[in-house]
Amino acid sequence: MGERWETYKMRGAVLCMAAGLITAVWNGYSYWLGYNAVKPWKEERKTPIASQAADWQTAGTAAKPKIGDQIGTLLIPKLGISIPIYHGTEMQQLRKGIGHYPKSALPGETNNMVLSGHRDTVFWQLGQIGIGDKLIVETAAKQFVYRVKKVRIVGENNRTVLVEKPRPTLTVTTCYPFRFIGKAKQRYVLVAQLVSTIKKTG
Amino acid sequence: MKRFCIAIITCFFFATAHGAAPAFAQVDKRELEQYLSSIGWTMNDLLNYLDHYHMTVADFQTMAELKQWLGTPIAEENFQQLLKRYQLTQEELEALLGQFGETVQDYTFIEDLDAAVAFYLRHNGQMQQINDMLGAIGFTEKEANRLFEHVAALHRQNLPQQLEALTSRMKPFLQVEDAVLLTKQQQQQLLSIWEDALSVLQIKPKFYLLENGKKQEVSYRRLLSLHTLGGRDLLIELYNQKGELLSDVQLSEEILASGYVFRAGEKFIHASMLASEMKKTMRGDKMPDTASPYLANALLGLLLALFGVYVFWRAKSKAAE
Repeated sequence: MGERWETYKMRGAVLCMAAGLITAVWNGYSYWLGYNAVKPWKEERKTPIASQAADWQTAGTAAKPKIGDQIGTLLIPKLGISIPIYHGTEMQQLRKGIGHYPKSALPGETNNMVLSGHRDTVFWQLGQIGIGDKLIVETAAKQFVYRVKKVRIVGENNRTVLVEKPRPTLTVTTCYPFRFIGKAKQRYVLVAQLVSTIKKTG
Repeated sequence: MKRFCIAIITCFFFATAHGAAPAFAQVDKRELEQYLSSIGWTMNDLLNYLDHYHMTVADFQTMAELKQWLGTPIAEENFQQLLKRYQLTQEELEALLGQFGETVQDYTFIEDLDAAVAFYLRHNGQMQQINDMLGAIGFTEKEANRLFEHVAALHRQNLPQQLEALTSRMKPFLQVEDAVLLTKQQQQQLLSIWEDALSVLQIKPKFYLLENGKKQEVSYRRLLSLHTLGGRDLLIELYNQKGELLSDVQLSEEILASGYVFRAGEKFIHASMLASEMKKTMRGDKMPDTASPYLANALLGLLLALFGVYVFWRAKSKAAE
């Protein structure tokens, strides 16, 4: 039995090494992709443009983006970072940035816009954001400035987060606790309201 | 006069150019602080709130103007009036706001609370209307939800308009009390409405005849050619394009012959129309899965590879002996 058993063992060992390495490299790459999507960013002062009411209407006429399209960037002045936002909250979009829940509003629309991201890649610093902090959604033409009004920590099955809102609202969700090995069963939720709209210069 | 005008214009220009300068603020700071503490706000809260509307304290000439613009702080009296206006108890109001992740404490001014309550009630009302309509024709809540999801997932332009056209085609039949009274032509019309509705909604029906609890599938053509069901019940199962069951309806021969079927059909199309109009909205959906398995999986992969290396090394050193 000896010889034969040893060759099997060798083959099994090589297989383990190959499979293990492929898994490690592939997952490491996926992790790096999200982690690396966070780019440093510095806030410049810009003057708000005219009344919000006018903007809500024009924002609604924009064509609905397709799943996987980049629809903008989330800028977090307090952390000095920018993260790309993709339309859709499936694994493929969350891997490379923040996902925009497809049924939720688009930036600036008079309703709830929902953004979700992984707690350990794009949103690993999100725990530092609290009430009163600014979140800016930047699209091709405009910047939408939101201010956090409420921080909620809820269970993963909570059905009161992804709801309609009477005002332009930005809801950001990620998993909670932030540093936790395994599947975190709670959600960290930031609820922010639109404060102003800034037209981009150049 | 001219000089006077110029003076005013210059003043105005100066004032707008330095709009934020405290020198022009007319609101007394002490008075303002007093007022804010009476409604439980800090100065920061006020500035944040004003910021929503691109305003600062300097935009107001007097304290009274600012107070009026802000709104009426929520107090026992106006709160009770609001409850009365919407015919809610306090518990019901809390439950309504809770459904949308909010509490009464999130609101400071009665006007804001009022607008939010009106919005949430309207939203719930639409949902209720759809559920009521489908419930009236025998859909369970689960079936209603499945149908809603199905309609919401349809990618078809002007779907609401198409369904609306179908409901208006259905109108003349709503008064009919007995299917026997229909002329041949009317029967043809009804069938075409039914077929159009299913094709617009991308629903595939399957028909069965039920006899003593036994199901026997029957084709649409064959069903049309039958003059009587012979005391058997008709079971209709509605499937989506993927072949998943959305709902089933069981109809007895008497019900089929009565006008009930027409009204049910109309309600079904109408409810689908409302659903298609609401398709873009979120109804307390589940949050996206933001757990990322990458780091844990990468570690597992590494461990597996290390294990392989260990076994390989053991086997090799054994072979060398």
